[in-house]
Amino acid sequence: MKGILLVTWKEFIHIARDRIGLFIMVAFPAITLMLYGYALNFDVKNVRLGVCDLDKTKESRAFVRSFLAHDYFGLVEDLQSAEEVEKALSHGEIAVGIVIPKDFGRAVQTGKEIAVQALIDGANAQSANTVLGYIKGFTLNFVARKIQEKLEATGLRIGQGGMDLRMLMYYNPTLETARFLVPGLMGIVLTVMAVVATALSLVREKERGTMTMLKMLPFRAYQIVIGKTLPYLLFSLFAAGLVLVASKVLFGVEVKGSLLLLFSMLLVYLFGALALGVFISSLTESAQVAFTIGVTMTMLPSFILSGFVFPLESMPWAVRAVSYIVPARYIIAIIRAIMLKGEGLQTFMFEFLWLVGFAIAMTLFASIRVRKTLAG
Amino acid sequence: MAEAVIEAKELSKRFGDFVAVDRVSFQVMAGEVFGFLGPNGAGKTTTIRMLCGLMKPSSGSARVASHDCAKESEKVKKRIGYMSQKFTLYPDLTVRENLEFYGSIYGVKNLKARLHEVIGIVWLQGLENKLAKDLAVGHRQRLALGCAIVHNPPVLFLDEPTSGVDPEKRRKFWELIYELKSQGTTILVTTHYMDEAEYCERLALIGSGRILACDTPAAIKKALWSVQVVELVCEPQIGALKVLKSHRACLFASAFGKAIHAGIVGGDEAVRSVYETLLSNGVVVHSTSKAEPSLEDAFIYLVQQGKSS
Amino acid sequence: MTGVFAIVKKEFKQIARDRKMIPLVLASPVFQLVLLGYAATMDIKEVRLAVCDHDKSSMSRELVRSVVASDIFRAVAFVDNEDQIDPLIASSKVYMGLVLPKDFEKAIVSMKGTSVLVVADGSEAAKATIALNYMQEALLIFASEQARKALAMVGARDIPLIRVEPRVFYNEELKSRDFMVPAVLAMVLMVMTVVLSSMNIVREKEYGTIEQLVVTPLKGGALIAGKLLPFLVIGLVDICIVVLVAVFWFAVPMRGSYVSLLLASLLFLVSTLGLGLFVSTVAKTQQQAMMIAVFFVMVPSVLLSGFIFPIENMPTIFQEASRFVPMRHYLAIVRDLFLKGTGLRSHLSEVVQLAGLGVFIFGLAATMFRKRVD
Repeated sequence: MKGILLVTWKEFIHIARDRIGLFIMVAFPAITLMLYGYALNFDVKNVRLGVCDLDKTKESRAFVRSFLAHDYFGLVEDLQSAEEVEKALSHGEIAVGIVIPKDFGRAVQTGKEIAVQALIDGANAQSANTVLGYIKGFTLNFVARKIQEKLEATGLRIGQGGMDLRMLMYYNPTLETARFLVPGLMGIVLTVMAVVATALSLVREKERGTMTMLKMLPFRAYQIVIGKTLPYLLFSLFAAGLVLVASKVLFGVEVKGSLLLLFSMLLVYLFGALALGVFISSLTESAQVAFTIGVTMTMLPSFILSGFVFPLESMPWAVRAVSYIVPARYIIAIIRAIMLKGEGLQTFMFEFLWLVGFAIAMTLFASIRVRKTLAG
Repeated sequence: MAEAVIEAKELSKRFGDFVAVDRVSFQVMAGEVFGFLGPNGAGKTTTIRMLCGLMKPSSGSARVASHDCAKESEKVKKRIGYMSQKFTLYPDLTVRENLEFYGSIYGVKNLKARLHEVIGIVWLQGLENKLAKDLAVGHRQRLALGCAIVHNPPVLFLDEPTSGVDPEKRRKFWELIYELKSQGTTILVTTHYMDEAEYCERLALIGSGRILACDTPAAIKKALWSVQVVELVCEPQIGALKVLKSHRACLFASAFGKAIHAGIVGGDEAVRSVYETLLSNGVVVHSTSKAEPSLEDAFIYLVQQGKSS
Repeated sequence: MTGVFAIVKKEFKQIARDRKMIPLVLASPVFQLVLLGYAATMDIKEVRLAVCDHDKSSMSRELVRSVVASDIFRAVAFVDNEDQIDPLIASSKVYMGLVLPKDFEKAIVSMKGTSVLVVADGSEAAKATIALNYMQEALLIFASEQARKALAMVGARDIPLIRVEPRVFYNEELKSRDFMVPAVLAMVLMVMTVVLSSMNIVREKEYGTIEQLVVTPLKGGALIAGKLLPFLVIGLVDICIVVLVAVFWFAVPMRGSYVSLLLASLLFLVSTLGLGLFVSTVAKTQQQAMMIAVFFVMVPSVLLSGFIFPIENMPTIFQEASRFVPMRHYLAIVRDLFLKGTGLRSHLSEVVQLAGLGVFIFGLAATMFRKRVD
């Protein structure tokens, strides 16, 4: 125990000397959240629409107007031909173009079938899907209104008819992206921060040659590993606290569940992430290598494989399997459960146990490597 | 008159209110082994930096190898070699690779042959392929020296080249320095080892940014001719020092291990008076002897002089 | 000039000596490419649905069938009471719930109003939006079909039917992968070059070797060039690797010219190397360099460049701010190079902005470096 405290103390002094690094470590997760919480959004709005109206009748104009009623579609360009629409697409001036054929108005009036072309820039598949959905939805609405008009015109008295769709979003009634982003961003930023903080801890010693000194002192490997992890734990928890404060103050996102539980989970998680950094640090003598491994292992996987942005169920099983060893995945699920749903430990027992296992495993791996280095 | 290879005129450097180098002037002639002696913080490194063209002086000027250090620093750099106090070579390159690197930077012709030569000069044969970080301290110093001379500069600046090296290896290193001198190199060495200073042909003593003396070691020591240096073993030592320092005839007094070196002015009478004062203050004098003024004595004396003036 | 060559040679020697670096340089791009290539998809499938059918009529059953017809939704729970849905969502056993009221069929047939309730787990908003869109579409199609049938039975004629015929350009199958893989190229380049260049000069500062360099007649410019050239080479090697894997393994179409790709990449590399150099000058230790590089260069690049989050959706301030992120411009150029085959001329404004950024950043970094060294 004493050995651990000694290493912790030494590491502590070291951290305190680097004021800038310390500031970044503590403040930046919150700053990142503040900035990007405002910036990031999945909603597809203000889509640039190009219209080629080959009909130019009352109906076709009403049709076009129906698209512009809300802010789903933004800038509209009037184009004269399908070729122009294609050109505009390829230049990126519009994201989608509608071509209304010549007999549109007549078809609507006489009740025939008519096809409207939607030319979509498919580069961003997700947006393209959404945009297509909008177009289909608006079209259906337009048709429904036309039907209504006809019925009224013929004097048929029918009920309001139709099906009303009520939608309820749990935990996020207004579907604010922020509510969803906060747990995700928090998980990712804290992960990256933790690993970056400790990834150079052992490399430093090796480069300075103080490793030889460490070899001569009566420290066991695990004492060094834990001792190097603990001081950062304190700062990381503090950083996490700042993030929570920022999310409450700026985005009104509160912790629905138990704050104590949340912090306990964060504690376990951060310990594991920091230990991962120490492990990376033990693999190499070069700061460049440690940095590369650290960034490659944390940044992209945490974004991509944690369920933050891309739904995990949609991935091929091989990739989904890899996601099981991405720590961010678990902490994000836990944070979401506690912050947004107010759930208790029993709901995410699996995730919790995984995190505990992760922390132990990382400490173990790091200790093994350090023991090798000390002996060699 | 031959032109000085290194010349400093009223060289000064101020950092805000702090005067690190105060109107330093001296000359070093071609082929001399010149020493800069002084404690840490006296301004040695700052002066060398200005001479190497690394720092611009606040006032005054310096010339090295016929070029102005501040205005023609690029030309100066081509004609000097520098060996730093700390180890500043690449630990992850071998001896040969380090030498090769600096050789290319200086544009040395026939590099391969020169490398072979340098390795011979600094006695690193057999270690060419060893990584610099795996070298013993003594070998590292020699490698650093090798990198400093790879381009055969007429002037060498060695900043505390033997710090951390044991006396036996220190002697060997100085053999190297004189070997280089015999080939015509002018060498300026800084050190805080008094015994090393004796190896220099001429010395400048620096304290608090000022030159206290600039002459041959022998001449400096002679400056104390009017001062009688006595070596005493007293008890209590601290009490004795107090008494001595407050005595009129005692110019300086300091402890050297168990003994005290005291500089007394005024001949034998003064010496007797000092002894009496000691005894009357309850100090027991175990032994006394006359001592040759050493460089250290001279230094302390001069520093004190400097302080009082 | 010899000075530059000497430094380049030294840098390569040092990189080669670091035995883990070379495999990393080669493997990490492939690793990230594979990850992103396979993982990046916004298509959702098999969303777990709980159904509460109070009506249990043939029409309500038909509605449920039509909803789960595609493999987007999978009905995993049938409950009798809508309160039973809540705990299922809370424990994440089910993601959405569909509640059909009693007398559903009767209401539809008689054209009276009726209401269908859909509940979803909003804690994963991205998924929720997509899922809801699909659900809405399925329900709307069902509703309009029913309306048509009902009207036909009443004898109403002349009911229009407007069909939307989609033509998707550049990505007919709407694969997210083709959109993401070019982005990975940018990501890989950025990470690799920023890591290498930001660490490098700080390392010389930490070791003290910079002191020995300063005494030589080596000019600051030569030092910078010598140090960054090897990383430029490494960057180009990484580009080749990524393009090879992308085109031959993932079959991402490359419709543009490779020369344009090379040119754009070179411009981009100038920015990233400049940024790394800048970090290296400002940081005092390698640890600091790492933190600054991650938070001031990498995180903004990932979040603001349009890599994952579309720029059009950001508030105006952020849209403008993202102009200063070199990756934004490079990404736009590269994505269109691959998918649309449009060359640099169509992206003149991006090219200009990228070049301008590169020159500015690099110039600033070089000036700061010279100042510090002197």
